[in-house]
Amino acid sequence: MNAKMRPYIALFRQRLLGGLQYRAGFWGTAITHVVWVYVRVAIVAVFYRHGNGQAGITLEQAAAMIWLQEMALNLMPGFGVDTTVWSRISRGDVGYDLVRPLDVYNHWYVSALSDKLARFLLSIGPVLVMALLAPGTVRLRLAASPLSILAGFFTLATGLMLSCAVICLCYAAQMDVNVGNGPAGALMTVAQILAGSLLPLQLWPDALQTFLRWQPFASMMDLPLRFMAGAAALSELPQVLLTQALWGVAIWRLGRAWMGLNLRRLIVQGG
Amino acid sequence: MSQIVLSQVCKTFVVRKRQKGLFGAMRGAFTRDKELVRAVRELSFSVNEGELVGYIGPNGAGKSTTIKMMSGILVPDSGEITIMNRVPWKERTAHVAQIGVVFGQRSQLWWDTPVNESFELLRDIYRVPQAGYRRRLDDLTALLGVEKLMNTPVRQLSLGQRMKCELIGALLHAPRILFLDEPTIGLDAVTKLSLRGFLTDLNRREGVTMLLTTHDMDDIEALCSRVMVIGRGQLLFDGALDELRARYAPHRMIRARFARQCAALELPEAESVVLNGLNAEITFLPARVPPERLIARLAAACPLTDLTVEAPDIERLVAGMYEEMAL
Amino acid sequence: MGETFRQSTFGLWTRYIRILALAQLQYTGWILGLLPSLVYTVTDPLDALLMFDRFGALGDWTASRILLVYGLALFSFGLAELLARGIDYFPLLVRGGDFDRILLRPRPLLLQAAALRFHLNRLNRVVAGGLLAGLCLRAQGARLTAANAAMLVLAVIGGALAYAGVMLIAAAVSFFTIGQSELINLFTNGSYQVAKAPPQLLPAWLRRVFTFAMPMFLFTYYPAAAVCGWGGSAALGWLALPLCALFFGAAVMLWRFGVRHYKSTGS
Repeated sequence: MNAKMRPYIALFRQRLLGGLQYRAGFWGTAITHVVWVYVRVAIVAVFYRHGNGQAGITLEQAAAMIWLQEMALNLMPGFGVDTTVWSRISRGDVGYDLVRPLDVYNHWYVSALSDKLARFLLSIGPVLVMALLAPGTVRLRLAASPLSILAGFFTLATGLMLSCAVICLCYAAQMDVNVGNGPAGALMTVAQILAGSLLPLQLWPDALQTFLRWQPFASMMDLPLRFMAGAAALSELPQVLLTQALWGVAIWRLGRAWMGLNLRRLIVQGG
Repeated sequence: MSQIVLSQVCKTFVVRKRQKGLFGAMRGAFTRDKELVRAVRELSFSVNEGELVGYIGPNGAGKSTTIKMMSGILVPDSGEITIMNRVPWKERTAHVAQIGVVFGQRSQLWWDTPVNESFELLRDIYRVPQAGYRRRLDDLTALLGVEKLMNTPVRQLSLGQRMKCELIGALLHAPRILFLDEPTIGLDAVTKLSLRGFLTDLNRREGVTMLLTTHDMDDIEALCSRVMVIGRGQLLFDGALDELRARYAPHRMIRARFARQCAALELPEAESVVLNGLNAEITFLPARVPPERLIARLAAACPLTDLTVEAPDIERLVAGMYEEMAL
Repeated sequence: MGETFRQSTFGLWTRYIRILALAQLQYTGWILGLLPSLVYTVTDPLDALLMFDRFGALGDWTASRILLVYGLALFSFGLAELLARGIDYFPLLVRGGDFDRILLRPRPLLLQAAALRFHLNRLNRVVAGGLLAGLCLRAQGARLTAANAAMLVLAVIGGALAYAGVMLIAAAVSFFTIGQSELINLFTNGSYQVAKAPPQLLPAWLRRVFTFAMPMFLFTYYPAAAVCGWGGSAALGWLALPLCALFFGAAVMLWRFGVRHYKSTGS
């Protein structure tokens, strides 16, 4: 085992296993998710049925996107352990993290990765089952081709890595005294929305579609989910992977540099 | 051989003051009065390997700031710190891998996980070789008597149990230096005693250098032969404990409670006698009169129901020092 | 037609943002800290608007109608949250064992709950909702007669009572189970999500839930319909306060029952 990676692998394992055992409110959360999807799909369906417009995706695909997005929301910045690190930064307790012989960025990155993965795996089961068994229009209809579904999972995994880079960027922003809590938190919300948490991106105006397709946050969730919902052709896979890779590296670099700067400033000014 | 050297270290914080009242809060949205807090002023001292040093002072004196600077998580405004031939904040990762820090008011363990998992995580973070880890863990847990707690989640531990585990967590990687920031705060007497015993033992066996900040004078008495007193960011005293006592807090106080009303007490050797109903406070100088003699006189004068001999607490001691130095 | 439609749809929304943003820009520091929740609040109706943009108006149901109903719900919720947020924290307190501390104080329990967490942050929804409702009323050309104003005021009071009732129910439920209070979120946040579509077009189950179980449409849709003349009986607009008060009363009883249960069983 690579000695340098050892601490981070250990942290990842611990949080993943610990997270998977966290059962409090399990069913309540699952049912909440399911009902939310019912409500959202009902509203979207009203527009499809009684409106006059055209959409790039069918109602069934939109419903699928909404189901999948609800399940994948845990993977986005701003949930779970993100909030504990967030409040730690707000309170100025970051100094205590520096007492460990760890690279702070990597520590937080790995924490986010394992926590999100644990939450996702934990919550996906019942919701998925209920989604597949739902009646009528609401039912989750996945893409016909199993390859597409596989592509979706794969890109979701790589999208998760991008998502963790984004949350670390938000931490870096938060630590910067010139930016602080407010704008950094707003950045998180904006990231979620542009990842498709509010409405599947393909339902946004046509004029925006090019922008939406290439902005960094789409690669976190919306693009991967399109494969699973059958709302994107398999041929787009290389393009999506490329987008994720380019944005991932850029945001990772930026986050590391910015955080390094802020940490240096922090240890001079005090926590 | 000096392991820790501080030379003319200064650290000043800018504190934004909160305004009072609603109007103040509104105004506070635009401007804040700034106040400069000089946490540490020209602090210099050195510690040799294997020493067990007490670092005391009132709240806000600069103890935690010093510890943070020595840990490498805070950079002084001026001055130098060299620990084990390193500048702490410049080589943070290498430095913290060789020290252990215990913060009394803050847990360094993972809240939701069982104790042994926290330890295993620490083992991996500090890259402790697998070979010695098990044995060291068993040794430490046996010494502190916490073997049975290994599977308990940290959040379910009592304060005393948690402190013991924090201590173990800080020692797993066999650090050469241990910083303890108020480790006994809030603990019961029994736990304090066992912690003190453990630390003395550790220092003797492994030669771990220890720097201990505390409010409890008994901790100092039990553990440290050398004491540093810090007040308002400055080092007020650095030397043997006895010398500190003798110079700044020579008085002791006997508090006695009598079984019945007593006639006026005749204790010419005492500094002062205060009678209050059935209670009496007798201040004396141990150098001048041994306490046994006073106690014998008291007992002879009147049957006693209760008796304590007190030493002045740190706050009073340092206050006394301030007075003497006209600070 | 598409162009002016888009303008009217998003024009309203951008006007709403601009006013809020201008207000924000005058301040610095801690007000900037409100930014995340503001962004969240402001972007929340966006999905309805985007759907509007794509699919056009649903019959008579324009963006300003949706946003009016939405705004009224948001305002009421903000009002309830502002004054009664303390109750919302009760589930957390119970788990933390702090509730014992509150029980020991001699002042009336409900009053204490309300004062517990008065965050300025909560003004967010009140300001946003009020602003939105105001803009939409103007866009609809509603006449603010004394009767109309009275109906709206009573309606939002009813709305605040209804949301406060939901929070009380959540607190009451937490006395019995350590279950997640996320389900309650469906009735608070969920209620003004439902405002995004005209009630007549919603599936029957959804419409019924939010008319009878959590009477959102009573204090938003019907009063708005009456004031703006969307058709339907104007008298329905007056139902808001009385029925919401009943709802609130029932919630209080449930809560009291929960407190009694808590007192008798210990934590």
